[in-house]
Amino acid sequence: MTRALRHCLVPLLLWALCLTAIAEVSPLARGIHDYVLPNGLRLVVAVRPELQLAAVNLTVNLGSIDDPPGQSGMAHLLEHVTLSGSTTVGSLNPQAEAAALAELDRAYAAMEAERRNPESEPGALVGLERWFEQSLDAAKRTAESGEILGGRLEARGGVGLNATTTADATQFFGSLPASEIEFWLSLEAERLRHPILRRFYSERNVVLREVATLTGGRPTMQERLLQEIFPGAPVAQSVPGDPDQIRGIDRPTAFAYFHRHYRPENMAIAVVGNVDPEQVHRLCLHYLGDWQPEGPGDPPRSRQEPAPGRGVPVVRKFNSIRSPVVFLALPQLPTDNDKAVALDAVAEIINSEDLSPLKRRLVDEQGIAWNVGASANYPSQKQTAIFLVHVYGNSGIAHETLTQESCALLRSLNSAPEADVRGAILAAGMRSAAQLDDPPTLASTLAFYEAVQGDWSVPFQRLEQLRRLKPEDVRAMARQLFDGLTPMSASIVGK
Amino acid sequence: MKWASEIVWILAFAAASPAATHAASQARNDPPPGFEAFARVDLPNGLRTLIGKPLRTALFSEVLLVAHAGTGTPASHQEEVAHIAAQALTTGQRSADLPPVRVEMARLGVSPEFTVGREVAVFRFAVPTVNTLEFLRLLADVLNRHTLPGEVWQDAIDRRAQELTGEQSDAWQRATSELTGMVWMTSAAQPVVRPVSLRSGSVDITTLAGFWKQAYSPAKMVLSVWGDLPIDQVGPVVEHEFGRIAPANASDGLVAPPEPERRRAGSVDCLQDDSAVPAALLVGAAADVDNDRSFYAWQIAIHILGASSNSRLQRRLRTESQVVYTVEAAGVPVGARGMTLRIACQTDQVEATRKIILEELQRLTSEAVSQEELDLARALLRSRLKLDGASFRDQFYRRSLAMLGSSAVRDPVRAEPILADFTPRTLLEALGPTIRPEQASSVVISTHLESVCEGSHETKP
Repeated sequence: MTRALRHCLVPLLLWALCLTAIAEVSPLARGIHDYVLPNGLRLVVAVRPELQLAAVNLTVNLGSIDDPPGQSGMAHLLEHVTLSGSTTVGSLNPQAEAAALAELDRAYAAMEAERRNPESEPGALVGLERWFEQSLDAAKRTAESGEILGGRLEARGGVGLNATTTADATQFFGSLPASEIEFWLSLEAERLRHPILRRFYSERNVVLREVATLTGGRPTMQERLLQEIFPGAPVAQSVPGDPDQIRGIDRPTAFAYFHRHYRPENMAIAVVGNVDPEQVHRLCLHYLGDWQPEGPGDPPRSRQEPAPGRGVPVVRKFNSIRSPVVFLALPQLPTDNDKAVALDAVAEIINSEDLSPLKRRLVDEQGIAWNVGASANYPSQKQTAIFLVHVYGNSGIAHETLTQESCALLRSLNSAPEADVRGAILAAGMRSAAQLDDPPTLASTLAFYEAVQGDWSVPFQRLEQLRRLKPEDVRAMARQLFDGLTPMSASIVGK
Repeated sequence: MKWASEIVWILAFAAASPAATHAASQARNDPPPGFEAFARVDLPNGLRTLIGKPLRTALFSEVLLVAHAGTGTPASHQEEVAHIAAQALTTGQRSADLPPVRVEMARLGVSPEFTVGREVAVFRFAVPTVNTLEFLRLLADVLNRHTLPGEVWQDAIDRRAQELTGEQSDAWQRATSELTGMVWMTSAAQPVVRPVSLRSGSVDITTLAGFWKQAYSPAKMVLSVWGDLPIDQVGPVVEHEFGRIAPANASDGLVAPPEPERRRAGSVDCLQDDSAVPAALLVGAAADVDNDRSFYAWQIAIHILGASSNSRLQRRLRTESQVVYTVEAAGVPVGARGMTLRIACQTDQVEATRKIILEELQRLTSEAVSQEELDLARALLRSRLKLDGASFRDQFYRRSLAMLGSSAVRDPVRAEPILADFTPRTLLEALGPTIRPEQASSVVISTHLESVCEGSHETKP
């Protein structure tokens, strides 16, 4: 090959590669624009001219699997307490409030120290508790009451305003008139750049009440399963948090954690609506472009501690209140994106109401179970731990029967009819497509992947990969997962 | 023959704009906002169809079938007939050599969803674009089953029985049904919602077959299809496949079923559930919303009471008393002219929480709200109406109801002048005559007997 020809071919090849990369995500991702601010904050804007309201989402790459040891619930708690405004937004007198909150921190620290003091004088704690209560009241008087940020946004037509914490991330979201995006960004900038964590202790009570509502006051079966399989590992942490550990987190500790992790390079913003992306970008630059957080940041725990190693399949059996539940935890295979979609399709065929051989046999024909399901990435996408199959048995059915039957059926998945496997691939594609169709879910998906994986286009790529996926790829994945699966390592956890 | 030559055919192209939004709601043959192409096709057998292609690339197709087959339709005789008939639509086979319809749908990547309301049954299918035409052929075949074999009906009855068991074992669903029955009754003084068990033989298959023939006949249905396919590709398939469905007897319009009536006295009902930690509390009151003004007055009032961050109940129960994690007020439609104002929360202090809820309910109808509260609720409601307006499904559903002659269609475009007209005083005047807060009822779901359950109240395990 001549030198001149090489000169021509190399750029041509590069150009062709670029085209291929674009084709991976288009045309479904048409109208999506991304930006990175100088401080590392990422912005994704999806233009949807037909929308009358814009969906907005701010995602922090910080979830329950990042909670520090002994502080399970930290990410969840921050989700709540960071919504209380800023040093100025919501304050009736910023200087007086700062002094009142400093006093509150001192009172709380003294009260807790006394509680831990084995030689505490009788009556000493009572006085400190009174000091704490008085400090709480004093701080309360220096700030507005009610939902400070939510109330302001609702007055401008914001709806569906909420926040959520998962194993992987914390998301703040809502829908609002496109003309109010600037107002929303200004409030987000205020609470991130000038945080105050006011009403920390009353919001901590709200979190504790939420945990009790979600869990009924005891660890869920899934939490117990993960704690058994991966004791002490980040993936095993409760998503809403451990009530005792939440009670142990005070305002200064939460503040320090906030400064280490609520940082521009750890966040992404997504906006979906009838908007001008350049204008949104300019607004982001204006309000958040020069934000430099206090002190150094820390990589989240999930990046410091490696994902659990590959192990053997594990079977755990639980007696729930009325009926047995069997969890089959299979170690996740190392996957690239192509294999990940095959795993999704395997989960889909197990979950399908009408194609799942497990449901057909265990639920419809044998009547020994009332539901069967599977999760391909449980419990996290940042540290994928297990492929989880769960079988909910009917009352009076033995664990052993459920386990043996389930294992046999899973092993037979590699010979599932081609039409069924094709249906499962299509269904997995429909599930992904639905996520990208609904504006608030699209905003959440874009912000999540941009914040957590640094690439908002991952779900679009997966959709394209699902379209190319062949039944034999899914069968091969099922074979890899389930061949040799036996009801082993069984241990029964009582009621 | 050109495929569209003998049918009513309106094809329009338009860009989405606020002006188009208003026009679309006025003239139902105009394209909905957000569509580049739209057509209405009325088939000779009476089936009316709407076909659209959105402006943006649709990730999948959607098929919406609205049938005059609700629980309150005169031919249903009893509520369960309509539910079982809806189950039957996706039950059985097209022919003996083909797998069950549900398996066929699943193999096409389609998961059917349906709900049965008082007037209509609504079926929604999300379909991979590539399988849209094949799915339409399948759906047409399914609807063209003039009579269904006995085993299909038995299967549909079994499915409905399973559904009911699920509803009964879900404490929240059970409590909501219970509450509706406590605040509303039929004209024969029976609860509007009754616990039903489907025993073998309790539903007559002849009745079911009669209902199927009448309610699922082409003239009683509207089919909508939209997705990333050209209309001139979908249209001929719709005309050919659905045109094959045999027409039934002459259709009649929707006949409004009898309206439920408000109960005159409130009560407390207690359900025991071992997993109810903390206890769940539902408070409900019946409201008459027989015109747009009272309907939107209640939509505003609900936001002020418990559907916003700084709602009265959120402030008193979550922020001040700290007895709930969250509290939510909602308006649940009952019949065409009624609504249950329902307040739901979980708390370990049932008595105190209930007292505050009842106080706030009373206050809402005895003193005017503040201008600030009214403005905030109005802003929220306007945004929610915009959200609904952007939903293609919502737009097609509303058009379908209008085409079936339903009286229950409420056009959101008419909301703005009504919302803008309210003052705190006129809002109070609109709310006052529609509700009796002292007639509110409560349902408690708890692990043990709460004090409000003591006395004459029944605790149901």
